[in-house]
Amino acid sequence: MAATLPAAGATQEARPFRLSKYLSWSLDHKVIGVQYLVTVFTFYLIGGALAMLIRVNLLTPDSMLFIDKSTYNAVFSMHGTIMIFLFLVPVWAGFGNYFIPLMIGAKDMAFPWLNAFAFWLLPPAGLLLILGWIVGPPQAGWTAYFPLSGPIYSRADGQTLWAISLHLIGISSILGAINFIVTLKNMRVKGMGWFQMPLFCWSILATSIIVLLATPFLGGALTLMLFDRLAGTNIFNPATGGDPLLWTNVFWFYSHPAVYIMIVPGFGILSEVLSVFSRKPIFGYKAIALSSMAIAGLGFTVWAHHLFTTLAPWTRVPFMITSMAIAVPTGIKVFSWLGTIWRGKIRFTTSMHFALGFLSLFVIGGITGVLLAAIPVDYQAHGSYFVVAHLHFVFFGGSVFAVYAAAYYWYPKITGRMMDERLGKFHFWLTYIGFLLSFLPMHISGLYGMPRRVAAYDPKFQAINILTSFGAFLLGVGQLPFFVNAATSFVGGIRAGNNPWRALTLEWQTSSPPPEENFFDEPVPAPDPYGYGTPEAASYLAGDHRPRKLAAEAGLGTNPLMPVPDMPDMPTTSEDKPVSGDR
Amino acid sequence: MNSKLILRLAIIGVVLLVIGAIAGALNPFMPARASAEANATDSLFNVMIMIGTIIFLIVEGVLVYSILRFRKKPNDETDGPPMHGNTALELVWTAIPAIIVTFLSVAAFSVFAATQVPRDNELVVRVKGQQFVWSFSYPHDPSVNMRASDVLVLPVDQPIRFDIEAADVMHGFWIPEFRIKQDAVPGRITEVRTLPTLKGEYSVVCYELCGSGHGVMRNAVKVVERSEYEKYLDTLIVRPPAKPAPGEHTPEWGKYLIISATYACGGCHYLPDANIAGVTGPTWVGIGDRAATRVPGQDARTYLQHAILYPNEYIVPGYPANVMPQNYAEVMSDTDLNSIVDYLLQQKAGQAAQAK
Repeated sequence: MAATLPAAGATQEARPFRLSKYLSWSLDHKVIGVQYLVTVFTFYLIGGALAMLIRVNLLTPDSMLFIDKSTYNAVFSMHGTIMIFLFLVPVWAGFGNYFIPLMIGAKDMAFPWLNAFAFWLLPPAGLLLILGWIVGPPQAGWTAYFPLSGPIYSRADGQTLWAISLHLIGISSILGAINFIVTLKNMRVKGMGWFQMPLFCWSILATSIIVLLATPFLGGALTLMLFDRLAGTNIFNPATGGDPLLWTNVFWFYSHPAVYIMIVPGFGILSEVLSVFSRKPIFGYKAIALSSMAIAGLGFTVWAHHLFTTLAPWTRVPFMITSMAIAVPTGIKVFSWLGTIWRGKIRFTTSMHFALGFLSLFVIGGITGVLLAAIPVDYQAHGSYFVVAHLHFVFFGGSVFAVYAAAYYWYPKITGRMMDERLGKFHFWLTYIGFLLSFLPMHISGLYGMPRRVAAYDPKFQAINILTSFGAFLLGVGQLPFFVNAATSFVGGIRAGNNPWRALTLEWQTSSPPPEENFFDEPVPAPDPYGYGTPEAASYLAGDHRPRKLAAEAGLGTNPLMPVPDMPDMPTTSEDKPVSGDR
Repeated sequence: MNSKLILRLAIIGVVLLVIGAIAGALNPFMPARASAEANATDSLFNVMIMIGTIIFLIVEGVLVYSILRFRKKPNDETDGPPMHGNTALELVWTAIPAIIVTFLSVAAFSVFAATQVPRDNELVVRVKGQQFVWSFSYPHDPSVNMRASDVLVLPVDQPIRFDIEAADVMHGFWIPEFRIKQDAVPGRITEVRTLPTLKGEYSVVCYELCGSGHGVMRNAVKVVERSEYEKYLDTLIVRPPAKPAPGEHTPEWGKYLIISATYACGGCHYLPDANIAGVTGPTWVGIGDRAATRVPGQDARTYLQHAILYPNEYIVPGYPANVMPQNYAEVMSDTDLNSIVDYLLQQKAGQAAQAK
């Protein structure tokens, strides 16, 4: 069923789009945001193509595509590394960069130069990783355990380039995090206290704290790996007194919080999208805001649940307890989101489809996560396709669905055009069905004894693998409508106007796309960014918040350059002609 | 809350409990249970499936109900009711999951704790993981020379402790039907316990990425009556043939050297006749035919001698240099060397089992 598109009739003047601006160094957070998004989606396509190779290979039990199974090992190692470090970690820096300043009423991020620098680390890092294939690709998985990833068993230099590439990506991540934290702390517009901030901002704050505290540990481990590979040290080599478990322990100390880096901003998007398209306040705003921070903190205490079969037995129970505990704040969010849509008036836009899809899939990933937290069950599931199923339910059914929800939600703001809703729903259904066909069966093959990261397998698993592969091909093909839609809507989509979704958060109170300094005048935040259904929200959306009226009352508008009584009318609804804005 | 609502919720609750109980009791998600650990683990797992099913049905049910019932009506552009929260409800949905995970932690702890307690009269089997095969050494009188086996044979109802080592990289020791799993870490001996309770044939599967052969690193497990276990052990005893006099060499002595792993040949080479199944290096099946034609100018015996003593002189295509130990020239006597060559020269095609 079609959602009404309130954007029909918008008449923003076309601004010439200059590709060169996006290919060069820019300090504008909006340009940087788009640069991030285009870059990470390119890596997403590469990672996705690698996944298709994996699934072709697994159609038969004897490594159909790759006679040399070490090539298969390289393919999945690159798939995991690219999807995690070059897509899911930086994609939220992309959306965050574009929208945090807008959502808090700022002109730009706190450190624009640092912002650009952090972005420009990413393309060379990605190139370095992929070009590593020429010198011999890494084959030790994205987890790169020693001794397999060490100089004796991974002689190929691609493993060394992997470590250097991840160093660059880590630096990019840390610099971005510093920027987000400072921006959120210092640059919120007057009238926006912490608890008037949109939940996407809370989620970026929590994520940035995780990045800042955890990523240096990855950097440390990578440096030691480089020493062992290049400088003849033996930190991880047991033959001379080193210990491979040192790597696994420090690696996971970063990599578990890393999964929260990948999902928590997605939680933020869920809150935005569900609220706007149910036309209801987010249920339990404070609980959701604080549970994001709780997850960020607790996320540092669970890492050795990846090591229930690796570290000494006395370590296992404490990590089971913390891993079980983290289900509680996560559950609070899921129930709060259900409370948000309950008794709402749901508009089934494509963005809302993906948000609802997230809810239906993430709960499954959450349940299998609790199963994995139980040590004896983990003994059966660890290192098997059950874990591959779990991680894809939360990374794809969770994070990627949230990325798509964000993309369809915010595309009009970034480009000034609406995406095609029919193509969008077609994208959704191919994705949803392909995903379930591909990843649900893996729970079974895993528990029945199929380990992960195998180019060949026991023939009794062939039927499940064929089903999985066909689901994966459907899923893969199903992503093409999204890219086609993004491209064609850019030139031919309906013009969006300022606020096609009639949302209350600040990014929608300016033109699409926004002008260079984001707002035409001092932005005034809604008293409650989720106040749908209240009279204050209705009057805010009708434009009664414009500074000419409220500024005088609130003591704002004392800027001598913009005297309050003489201000021209500002466009606030799609029917108005907006003042010029840069793309 | 009126009584009609309470009744409706109660009926839903009962239905959910019944569906959950059925899911818990009848789910086919785990393979056969062949050990005491499997029975304990599956009981825990089934309880978790029951609870997970109920939570799943509640969440998906509310979701589907909302999608159907709360869609925007045509021509209604108004907003929904401004409900910001409900403290009582939020406390309930915080407390109940907290209680559930506490209960599950306690239940999981008790199953886990049982796996840590040594049983009486444990049989200790040494396990070695290497690229890309497991090998097992059974307890025996030290005066007897018993070779390792690549089949894990265990007596039923006998407590077992596996002491696990890794010869090269990390491996993962997993018997799915037993529900036991333990990493093999170079530099350490790790251990895991089990009590097999069901006779049958199973597999031990490597689950920790260990290189190109990770997917084929699978060995057979057989749980049998004790008498059959004893008989199997007897077949593993290596009764050495007479050692040749100095200056002489015999193929029987060469075969013995290989079977007894004196020079660790079986770690990398494959020859069913000598009970070795390594895959890292070239196969020895039919090597008696190939040896004469490998290197121009070297006859079969010379080639084999050089291949052992000076391995980097000629590398079989498709294999890397520097993997074969380089020091046999220092440690292997002439008798041993030529006995091994005698035996290898006997390995001609037509006499071997399946080639690799």
